[in-house]
Amino acid sequence: MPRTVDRAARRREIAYAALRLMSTRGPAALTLRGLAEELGGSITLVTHFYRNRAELLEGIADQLIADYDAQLADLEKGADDLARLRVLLEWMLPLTQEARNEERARVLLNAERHSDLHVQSFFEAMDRKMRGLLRDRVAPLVDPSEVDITVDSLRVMVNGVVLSAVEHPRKWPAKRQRALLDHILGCLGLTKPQTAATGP
Amino acid sequence: MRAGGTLPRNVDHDERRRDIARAAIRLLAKSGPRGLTLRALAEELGGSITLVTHFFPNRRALLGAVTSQVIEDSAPDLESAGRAELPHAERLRAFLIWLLPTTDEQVQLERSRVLLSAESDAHFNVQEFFDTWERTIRDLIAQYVAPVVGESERQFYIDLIRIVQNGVVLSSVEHPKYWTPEKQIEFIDTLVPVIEQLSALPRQGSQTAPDRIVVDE
Repeated sequence: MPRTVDRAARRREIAYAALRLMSTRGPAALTLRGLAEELGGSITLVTHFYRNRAELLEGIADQLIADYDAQLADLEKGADDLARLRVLLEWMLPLTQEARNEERARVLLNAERHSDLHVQSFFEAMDRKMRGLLRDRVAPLVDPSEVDITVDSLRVMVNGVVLSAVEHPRKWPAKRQRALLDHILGCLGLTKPQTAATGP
Repeated sequence: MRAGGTLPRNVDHDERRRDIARAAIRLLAKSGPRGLTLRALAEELGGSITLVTHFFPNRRALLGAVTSQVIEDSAPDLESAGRAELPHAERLRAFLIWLLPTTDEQVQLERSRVLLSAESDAHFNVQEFFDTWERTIRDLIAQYVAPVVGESERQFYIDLIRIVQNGVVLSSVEHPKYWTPEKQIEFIDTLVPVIEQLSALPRQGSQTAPDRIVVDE
């Protein structure tokens, strides 16, 4: 048991170091050697857990996805349905420098499609998780026939802010992102007081 | 290969610049930003590198011309989208479809644009390209939005349309199989009545209206 715990903790630690490396220096810098240096150890320290770059990227996705629910549960304490959606969307936006760096790395991953990174699986896994989270928060708030389009629209909105903030970081500070989010949710009737979310 | 690609001898300066910019657009769409080199461009044009450098001394100048050429070449489509006799919803629909990557060529081009983020270096300032591009597109959106929406809501609608466009661009670059052109058009068809309704009705909950969005463009 302790051995398994150690192993899981080590995998987690390496995956987060890989994410930091990718966020600060771009996906092209995500190499086994670079990561070993970052961790101050030998390359076998990494390869013992992740055999190649593709497994590393997969490890990043697995780790992030595994941790999202706990992070959100923490942020959502005591929130009602509307507030849960608001919390989720704000959590998805690149409001901090760290989040902007991560989103920039994500955008740059598109340039690695022909590399050994298996980028498409990463995108699919992340998108599935994000849509699942959105669907869960949207479902209690809108008519069942509107769940799909609402999830698509909110996913598009978040991605639109991500691309804008990556290309124009100074023009999209947190304040502007939050103001846009509030305005859009207000327009969709998804803010308090709960009016017309499902019609009169 | 020279016969097909060589530029006619007596075309004027502007026309040559346009031809080179169009060739650069084809290259960008075909092989991405890294494929856009002077050598590749000279080959695409069936001429020498000096043919290109005579008009564009560096990649920065070339990218500037790419921006204006993309806009110029799609202007006829945009004009038909903006025809005043069409009902508002139809104009909005046509305008949004014009903005979205619904053709193979547009998909490739937007993909190149997304990849440009990775290209920044000392010799090649992508920020300038992004700024020019952003200004150009926002001006077009502003022209479209101005007659439709009151002044206080204008900035929000420009942001909204640009965010929808960027969101579909990034989504379709990451998930081309989900965000097919048909899916994008279906999405727009669902979205248009919603935006229509929003711009026609006073916003709900205005007593708790969010801060005005302050933008310095």
